[in-house]
Amino acid sequence: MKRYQLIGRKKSIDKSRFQSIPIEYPPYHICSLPYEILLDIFALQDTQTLLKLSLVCKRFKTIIDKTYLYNKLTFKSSRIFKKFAHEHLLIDNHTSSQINFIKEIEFINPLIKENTKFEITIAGSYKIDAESSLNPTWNFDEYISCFSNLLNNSYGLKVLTISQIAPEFAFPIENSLIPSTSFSSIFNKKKIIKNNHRHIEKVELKTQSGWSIPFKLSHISLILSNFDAINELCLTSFIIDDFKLLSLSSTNKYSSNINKLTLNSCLYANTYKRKVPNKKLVSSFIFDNVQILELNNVLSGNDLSIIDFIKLNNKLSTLILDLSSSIFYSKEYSKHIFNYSKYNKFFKLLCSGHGGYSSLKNLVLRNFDLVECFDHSNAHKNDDNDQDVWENPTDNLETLLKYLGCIENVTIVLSKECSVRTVKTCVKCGFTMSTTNDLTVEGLDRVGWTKLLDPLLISNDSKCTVTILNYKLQSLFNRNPTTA
Amino acid sequence: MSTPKIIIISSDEEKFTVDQKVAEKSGVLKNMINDLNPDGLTEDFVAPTPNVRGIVLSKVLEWCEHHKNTVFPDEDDEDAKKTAPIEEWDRSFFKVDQEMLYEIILAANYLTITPLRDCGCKIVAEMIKEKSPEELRRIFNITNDFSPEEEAAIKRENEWAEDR
Repeated sequence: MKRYQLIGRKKSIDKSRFQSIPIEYPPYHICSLPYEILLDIFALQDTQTLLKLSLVCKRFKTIIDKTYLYNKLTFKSSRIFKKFAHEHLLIDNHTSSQINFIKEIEFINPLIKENTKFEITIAGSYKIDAESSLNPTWNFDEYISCFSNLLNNSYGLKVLTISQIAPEFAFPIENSLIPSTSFSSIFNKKKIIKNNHRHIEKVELKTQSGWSIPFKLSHISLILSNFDAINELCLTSFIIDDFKLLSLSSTNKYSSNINKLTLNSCLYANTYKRKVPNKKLVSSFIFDNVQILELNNVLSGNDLSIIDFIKLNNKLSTLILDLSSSIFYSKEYSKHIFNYSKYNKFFKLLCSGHGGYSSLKNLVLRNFDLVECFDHSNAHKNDDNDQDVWENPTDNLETLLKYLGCIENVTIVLSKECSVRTVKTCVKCGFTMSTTNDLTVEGLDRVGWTKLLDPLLISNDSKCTVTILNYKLQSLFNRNPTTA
Repeated sequence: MSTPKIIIISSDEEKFTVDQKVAEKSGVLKNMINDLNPDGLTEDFVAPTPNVRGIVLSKVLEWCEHHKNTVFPDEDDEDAKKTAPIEEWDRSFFKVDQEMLYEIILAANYLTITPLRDCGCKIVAEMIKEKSPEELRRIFNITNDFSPEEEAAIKRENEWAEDR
């Protein structure tokens, strides 16, 4: 680090100069405008203008630094990060004061280690543009050291995003015994002092477009060494390979405390069963503390098995499922119909509370077009004919709702389209008003909802807490048996 | 009986009589009128505005009168607010000196006439665009409280943000 200290020294600013007497302006002057009005004016400016404004006077500079320039940092390339690091992180023995304003950081296309073993070629001809070759002076160890330094010093940091991650990208793994990672560890040179009880709100990792990359410990190792807890880890377009994640467990010194795991368009590769057929699948230490699992844009039915992999930690209590994923629907007469025959069984098991699902207490179904699925014409079918029905069909919404009612809490977040849908009347039960003024779903009253959700509400001795929200997450209906 | 009017009194005791609809462009006045008259107005309502001078209040009410039937985009829709262009009428309405401009913005802020406040902010924002720090100081009559060294330091520390 000595080299940086010398670079930093000549750039450090004499602090005493900043303490001059503030200038008094008349009451109707731009500098006398209240803070919130200046914020609104500055909010309309682009970065170039903001940079010029921050050179005008100290008051402007403070507002702009705090609210715009250093509130959310986006490093479009590692070259920009290098520029930033030299001015803000590598000053002798301290970091710049602006580091305290940071709430969000996004690294786009993070640097990969030079001469990475795996050479990626597309169609055997194009070599993937590795930025390191353009940046001979910015070596990987320095990069990682600055990255870590930034995480370690930005105490206000809430959200860290790393996007356009290349397949070769990896943080070093401390004292790793894993032979495949031959990266010289930066931690040997500089010991990171782990701050006690530091937690980060959200860590988001996204792969380069077109790539699905197996998720590895080295994708988050540096973050785990800087934070004790991650409230939400959000992965986009990764492959969750149970064998790869489990082969790490015994050989590393990390502990992981991730409360919520969100997977967007992620694939599940259950290779463990194939590679180790005689051993039972166990939970990966990375996901050991996951209590909330959210699956968005589920790509195939197999990917739902991620739930089974995560629940092995016996702590999974909340499951959030994006029901706009196409796998839940079958196409009939060019219309998307919820695939009850396939997924009713799945939800039955999920909500049963049996076996591995006993810890699961809350189910949230997002983007569900409940009303589109609802077919009221069926509701009175059996009223008319007194004939015994041999067996009630189970591949319908009523059965789905019945199964859902077996879990403690069900929350259904209606899709945007659903909110504006109109509801038809039923002469028999007065399900809504007259046909001439069909109600939108938003305007449905308690009686209407009770009719609509009847199978869900009466299921399991009415013990289920039911909440219906619109797409803006405003409550439309709520039934809580404990307070009723 | 004629419809009850709203009488607004400025800080310098000037009285302005306007329709309820015009006065209710101001969130504060609207709440005041409705809270004190839950069953509707039966007689004239007097509302003092001790922070606003008569000359400013007359400008503000001119705006309210012109826009009494205008439907403004949703308050929460930040993007719609930001991108909406300034209307020609508003632009000429704001052809005033800087002091008056700030006074109108402050009055709109105090009386919670959000669209007027937003429009004023946009006018100021346009004055700022594409100007150098020196030009900005000259236009807005701001004293440079940085030393040359400090200025150089700020340029250096913000250099990374230049190619954002």
